[in-house]
Amino acid sequence: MSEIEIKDVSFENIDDLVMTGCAPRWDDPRHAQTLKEGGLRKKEWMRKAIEKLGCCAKIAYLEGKPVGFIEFYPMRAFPLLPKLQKRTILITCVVVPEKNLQNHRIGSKLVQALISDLKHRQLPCFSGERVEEIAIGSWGCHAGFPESKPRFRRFFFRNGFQEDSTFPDPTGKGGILVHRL
Amino acid sequence: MGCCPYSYFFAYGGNFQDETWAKTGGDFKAKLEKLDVEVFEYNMLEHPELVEKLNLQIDPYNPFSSLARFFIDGKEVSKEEFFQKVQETQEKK
Repeated sequence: MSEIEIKDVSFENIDDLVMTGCAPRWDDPRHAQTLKEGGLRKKEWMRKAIEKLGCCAKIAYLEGKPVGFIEFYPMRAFPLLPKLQKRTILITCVVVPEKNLQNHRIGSKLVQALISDLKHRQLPCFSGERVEEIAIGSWGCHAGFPESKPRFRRFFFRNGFQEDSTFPDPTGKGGILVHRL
Repeated sequence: MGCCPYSYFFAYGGNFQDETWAKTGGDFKAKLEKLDVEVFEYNMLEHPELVEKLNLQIDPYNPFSSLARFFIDGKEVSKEEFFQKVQETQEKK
């Protein structure tokens, strides 16, 4: 496989993220209209998020084609989540939608690129201070198919995450995974 | 609806567990609008005040989260009651 290139999302490549997220079913007439409308709203959301927060996603490219992404936000940006004292980044999504590209470590490269970046980058949303921890509360514990959750959890464990039973979770579901920087 | 395009899909009846992906919300929304029903959409992340006021069942860690609520003359009713009322109104016309 050719080398994977990872780029921050910007105003120039928002479409690469939105189209990648919906790619497998984008043209399926049975539900295309609704998903396209959702995609348009996602683009609006991403534009606002980039303006407000700066970098909030990374996209993986294979031979110039977008093949996956990781999306992340400061935890304090989310309503209903407890406001932590720590500077916590919450991963909301890691996706490599094409089945034939899964299990080629593209997802791990995205996660590792994020970890490496946040160890050094000072984010405006944290008043220029560095991030203290990265948490994942969606895939592997709160979203996705139950049968695939163990696989997602193993993926994050391999990338240095650990379960933190004390991490606040108003739903009571628990299972939040955390990587301390 | 949450921050994922699929949350929009789910808000209108999409079913993630349906592997044929045959259930689409597109028809559902179009049907509502044809029946003169007003549809309001709010992104939960952009309207935290509404989330806190109305959507307490939302899982904030799940980007697919969505919740549909039905109102008649400002009063919240069940989905069944809502569509029964819509049907009755249409029959009278």
